[in-house]
Amino acid sequence: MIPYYTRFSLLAFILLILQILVFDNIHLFGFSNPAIYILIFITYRLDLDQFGFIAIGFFAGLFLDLVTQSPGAHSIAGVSIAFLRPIISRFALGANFNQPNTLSTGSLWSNKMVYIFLMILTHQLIFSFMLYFNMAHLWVIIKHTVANTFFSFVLITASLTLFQTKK
Amino acid sequence: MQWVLNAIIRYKNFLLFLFLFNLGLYISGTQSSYHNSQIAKSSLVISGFIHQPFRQLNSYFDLADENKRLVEENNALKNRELVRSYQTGVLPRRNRNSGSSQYWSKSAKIIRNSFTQSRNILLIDKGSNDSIDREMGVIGPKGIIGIVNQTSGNYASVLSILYRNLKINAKFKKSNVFGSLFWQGDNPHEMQLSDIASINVVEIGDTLVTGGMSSYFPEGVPIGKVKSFELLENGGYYDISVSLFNNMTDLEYVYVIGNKDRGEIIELLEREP
Repeated sequence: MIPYYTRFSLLAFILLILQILVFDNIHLFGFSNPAIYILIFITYRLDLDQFGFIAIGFFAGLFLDLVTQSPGAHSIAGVSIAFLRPIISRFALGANFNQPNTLSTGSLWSNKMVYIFLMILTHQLIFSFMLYFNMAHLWVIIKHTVANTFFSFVLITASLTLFQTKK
Repeated sequence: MQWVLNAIIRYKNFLLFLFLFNLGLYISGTQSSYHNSQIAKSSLVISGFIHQPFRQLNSYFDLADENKRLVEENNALKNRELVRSYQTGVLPRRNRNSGSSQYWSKSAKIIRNSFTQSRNILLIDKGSNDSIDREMGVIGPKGIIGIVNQTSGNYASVLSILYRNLKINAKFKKSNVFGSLFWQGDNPHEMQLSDIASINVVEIGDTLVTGGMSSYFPEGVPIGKVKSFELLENGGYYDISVSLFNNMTDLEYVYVIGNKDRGEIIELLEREP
């Protein structure tokens, strides 16, 4: 059995590379980039220590920032979503929000969807705000957030269904 | 003393979050002032290294389209050459080399293109080894693309004209009226032209070219044409939207323009009065 952290880092690395090479080149309607790498933040085991998770969020974002030359938006969104995740999971998943296998078996389908949706929405909102960094562009920010959230949600739920771990 | 330690341990998640968040903000700050940022330089090496092979594969699939475009461009160049040889035959000898010989150009290939963000940056596969330096102009087959920002050995990053803080000196081809061109951060096919006084005549379809007021671009490189305009109520200025000739969303080959007299110009500008 491979240790969890090894498996997780491998998955994270693959997702980041996929994001850079494939999904950043998809421009739906000319402006929308689906963000598959949010799967890193969604699938990280819910019962593990948050301290390490915040660091992971930052470094995953930093890697994307360096490669795509974006001004810090990915790292800030990553570190924020890692910090906010307990609040979202407690709201969406209810009583068993910090169980290890909540995402695969332990909760209702609707709860999981709400959890995934809120994670993506929060991440994309922070990300777009950091990218534009100006309230004068609020309308553009909202447009980007809504479109990106929608397509990322479709992609992420699809890939979660495809690669579900069988128990 | 004990309670300080307790508080640190208790709020360690929040403190780490705060620390990393500020680190992110710091990175933002250094990145968008886009001068002398060491991190931009090192990240350039990484992203050039990662994007290069993939872009090569990608460009293989685009070969047919690209060929067609090259043929078109060749055609246009040949036409221009014909016109010029006609002119040099007619004009007096002393006028022959005055205009264009001050500039040289070098072709480069785009290995990463972005246009969905508010500050877009392109990567090209030529760098300081090919004598490409910062603040050189970059033009595409149909007009201007941007300005070189950072260079490493084999790569350079280019601030696209679709970059929110960037202003470019532009003028009307027909009347030599100057204004400054900037991007509003929304549509990659459209830019705004400001500082044109209402005394001038503007019509839809007028062609805009670069002005000679900066040392980045030669005078007269095409930019785009007037799409719509309106008179601002209180300023006595026009608000003009310009549709670009270049399609910024599917660029492949560009030319970097160097100015032989640039060193001299900069020295003059920086000399104390």
